[in-house]
Amino acid sequence: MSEVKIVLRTADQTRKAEVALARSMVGADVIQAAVQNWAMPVDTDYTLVNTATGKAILPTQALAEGIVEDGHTLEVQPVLVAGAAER
Amino acid sequence: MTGERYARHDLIDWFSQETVAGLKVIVIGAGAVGNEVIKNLALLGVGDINIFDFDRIEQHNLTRSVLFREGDIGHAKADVAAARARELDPNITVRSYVGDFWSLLALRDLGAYDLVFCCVDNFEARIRCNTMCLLAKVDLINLGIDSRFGVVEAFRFGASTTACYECGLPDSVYQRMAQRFSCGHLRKLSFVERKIPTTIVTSSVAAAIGVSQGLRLGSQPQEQATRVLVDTISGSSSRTELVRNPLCPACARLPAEPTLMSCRRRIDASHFDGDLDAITVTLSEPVLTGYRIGDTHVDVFKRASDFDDSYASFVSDAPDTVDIEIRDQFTLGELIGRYAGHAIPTKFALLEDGERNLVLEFEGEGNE
Repeated sequence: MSEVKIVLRTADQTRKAEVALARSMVGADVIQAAVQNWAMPVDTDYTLVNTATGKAILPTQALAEGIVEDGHTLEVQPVLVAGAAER
Repeated sequence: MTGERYARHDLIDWFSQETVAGLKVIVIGAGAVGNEVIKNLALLGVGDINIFDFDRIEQHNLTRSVLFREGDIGHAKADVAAARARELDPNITVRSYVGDFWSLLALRDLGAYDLVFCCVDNFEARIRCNTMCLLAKVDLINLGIDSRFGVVEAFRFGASTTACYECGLPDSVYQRMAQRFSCGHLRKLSFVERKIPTTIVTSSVAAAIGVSQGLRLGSQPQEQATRVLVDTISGSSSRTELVRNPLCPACARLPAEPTLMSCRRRIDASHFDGDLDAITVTLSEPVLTGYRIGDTHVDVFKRASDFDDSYASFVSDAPDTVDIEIRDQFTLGELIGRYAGHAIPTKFALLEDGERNLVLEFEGEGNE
């Protein structure tokens, strides 16, 4: 199975790991693995960013060549929905 | 007097006070982030600011709202924010609209604005804001916060075909929104909204970057959609290019070059001819078309979101026997055949016949 070796981290960089992921994994799979393994808050939504390319990885987008390469860092960022006062 | 007010701005070689004064902008949401955005726009001398918010000021708003005072509690946020913005710069025009922007702001009017700042507090409103800006081809700045991070997303709908707000939204967002509704799109009476803790720190940082990004949109029309995420504790930030999603429920579904037309709400069979069943009508929101109890069918044809999950109990002592129909898609023939005489309660409808795409926006309030 084709794999890619990347660094995965949270946006606050309190959690960080070197991992080998199957290229068939999609963005949503990576986020789910991070949330489960790092016990991240489940009442928050997340997106995935490749900090090496500066591009977002869509939830349905596979970790294909040209999208993610060995040594890249992927960051799990929160989707922020607040803006007005909470009610 | 006016020249002296902007004297420091005039010293900045890339800053055109004349351009800024000529801008017409909309701020949706006058809460924590909206206050900061409005303050920045007013102090910069943005010439025409239009504020939409349905809410009233509560005491807990005062720790994050630079434009509000103790004495403003109970007053409409939009009105107070507009009045304070006019005090900050009497040379600018600031209007307030107290109510839901989805109802108050027409797509046909939105095209006259340069930019929309989305400062709301929930996904539904953000998605609606995105839909409207996408259809009207108006640039959108989407701002969000929590207790640590601030995010600013810039979508240049006015200049190019870029990713939109919904392109990158994870499925979990739609699942979270669905939790507020029963399986039939009726609101759950028992749902308790999650409260997200925020402070003025993240609000002010996000708003400052958002206004800065927004006022530069005109000079960089070819740029892709971007997201800036700021960590207010570490001081770090990142800038990400947002990717267009070919399966996006918004920009991949809505026509790229829509023809916008105004239309009366009342369904009138005399206005149509031809093969009406070949035309698909998709309404902007689900409609509770009616309900059936045994052999008896009752037409309702109102917005589903106006009802809650107690509706079956409201219409019958035996709610389990009530079959409620909720839909957002019809053929034009079906709509005219079954619902002639009813008023369409949604904001707009997308009409498709395989060749042409028409967006009909309905005049006046829904559920008339």
